[in-house]
Amino acid sequence: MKKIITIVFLLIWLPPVMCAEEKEKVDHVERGKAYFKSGFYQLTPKHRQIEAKEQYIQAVKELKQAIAANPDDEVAYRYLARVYAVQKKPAEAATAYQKVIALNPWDVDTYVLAALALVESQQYNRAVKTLQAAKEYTDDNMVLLKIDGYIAKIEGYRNSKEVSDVK
Amino acid sequence: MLSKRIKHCHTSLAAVGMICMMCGTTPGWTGDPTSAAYCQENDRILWFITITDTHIGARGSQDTDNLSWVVHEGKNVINPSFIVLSGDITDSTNGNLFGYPNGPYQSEWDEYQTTLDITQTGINAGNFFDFPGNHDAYSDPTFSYYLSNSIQGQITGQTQPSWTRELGGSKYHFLGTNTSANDGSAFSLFFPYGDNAGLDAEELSYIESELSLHTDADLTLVFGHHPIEETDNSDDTWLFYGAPEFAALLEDYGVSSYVYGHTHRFSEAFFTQGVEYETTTPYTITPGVFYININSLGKAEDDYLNVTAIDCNGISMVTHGIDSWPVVMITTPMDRNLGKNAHPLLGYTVPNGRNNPLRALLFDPNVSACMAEYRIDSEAVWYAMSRAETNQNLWEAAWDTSALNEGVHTVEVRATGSEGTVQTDMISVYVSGERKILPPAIITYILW
Repeated sequence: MKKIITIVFLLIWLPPVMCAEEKEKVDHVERGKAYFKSGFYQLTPKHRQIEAKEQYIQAVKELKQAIAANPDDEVAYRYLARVYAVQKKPAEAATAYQKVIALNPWDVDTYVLAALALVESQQYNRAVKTLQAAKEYTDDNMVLLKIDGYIAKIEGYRNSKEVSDVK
Repeated sequence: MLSKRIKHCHTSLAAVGMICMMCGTTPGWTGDPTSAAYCQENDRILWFITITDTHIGARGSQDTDNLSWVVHEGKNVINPSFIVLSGDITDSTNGNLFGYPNGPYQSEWDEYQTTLDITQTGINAGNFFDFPGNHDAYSDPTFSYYLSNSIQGQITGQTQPSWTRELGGSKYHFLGTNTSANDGSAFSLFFPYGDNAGLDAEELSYIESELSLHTDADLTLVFGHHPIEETDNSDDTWLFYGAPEFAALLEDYGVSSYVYGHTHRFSEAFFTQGVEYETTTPYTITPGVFYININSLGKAEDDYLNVTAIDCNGISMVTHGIDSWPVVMITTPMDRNLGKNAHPLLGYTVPNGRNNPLRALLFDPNVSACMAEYRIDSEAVWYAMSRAETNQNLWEAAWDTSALNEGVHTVEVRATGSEGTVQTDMISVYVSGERKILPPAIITYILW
């Protein structure tokens, strides 16, 4: 009898709690997106940069909370990467983009975004490896040519500038 | 929405008398693309500049250098009625190593405004018409950056500018269309590259409302960023939706031309038919429109400065690079081969007579030190032209065609700039009627 009561209690109590938790996860992502969009599309074009920066800070907080609740939230990582890029934090952006890739390896364009962020943070070897990895996920010849072109540009840039990867 | 209008076109020629052209409208047309008239009047001319694909923010300095030239020296010397910038105002790359558009970037729009230098150049919403291309649309579903930073967007709050010019009793309507995607897609390496270009119902409705608002226009010229239909280049995108409806509007309202960019190539063609994307349903435009593709000002090597003139409702164009003077363009008579051989928009031939008007615009930093000459059919003899008293950029001559056989002939104007540089423009015309000069034997008989 006790078991039945416990089961009934759980059936009644758990779903709303789970829904509330799920809603909270979604809310963090949506709030993070909203903060980003406010800063990026409403404030920045109007040169309200100080206010925009505050929005980005809030966006990062929300998105991190979302990720803490769900480490496999691709959307949260994608927006987090975007915010870091706008904040000119390429190393952090690269890390977030690589999380997106790990969750969705078929998204070839994100490899390019990650590589760009790696280049900007002077991680040239990793940028090249990221692009080489992207080639495993497409058989589109035009795309493969473009990726090869990007790799060549990294090599050319690195050689011309005589720069090396940050340690 | 359509109304008939009868336009009376009148030309006068001293040698063979007055020629009066009655131009009837095709049912349904408002503007009349065939209303070009062969006029003696030299004060019915306006001209403007069209550029495209400035790609401000691209790696290197060509983007800002070239745009700066256009709005400073180009604008000062050519003194156009207005300038059109038909899309891809910014690059959306911030000069990143790959040239991969991952913007938008406010820094690019700041650079754009700095380059326009409006306090010095006088650029304003009445003389500069910029509208977005796909690079301005990536990841910006509401065009917030364009609307907040472009010359037109800041004033009109819209993405499709519409404006008119009036001259000597004629009215001309110009319309910029936003062919870019409205879904805010990010750029992609995969076709269609994040560029879901087209004209949706709202955009088409606005286009139609503007066309119908100016039913009293003599000519209507339309600009966009994308080609109307598929090209033969796999890197290109075009209007994936709205093309047949757009074509119907171009036809219904008697539009004369569609000028676009996007492809980073130059071509002059005449558009009469296309095929709808995916459905492959064909559509037509009758009689067709001049279909002019201008090269990228920010990234190409040449053919990115287009100067268009309207002279007595006749359209003429030249397209080449910048920082090169003089620029010369024959405005009268109208070229019968603009866009295609014997295009159907030219409603007149050059009569066989002694006093046919020949006019050309010549632009140079020191135009008073320039010279213009013309010749016929590439013959060795050049004939001098004289500068019009009322327009320092206009050169004219009275062209004697009485010795020419009926048929196609070329007219070439050679302009020598103030620094000795020579530039030419050549057109083809059809001379009609019999030769009027009597052979010597007949003259002798009459005298005897």
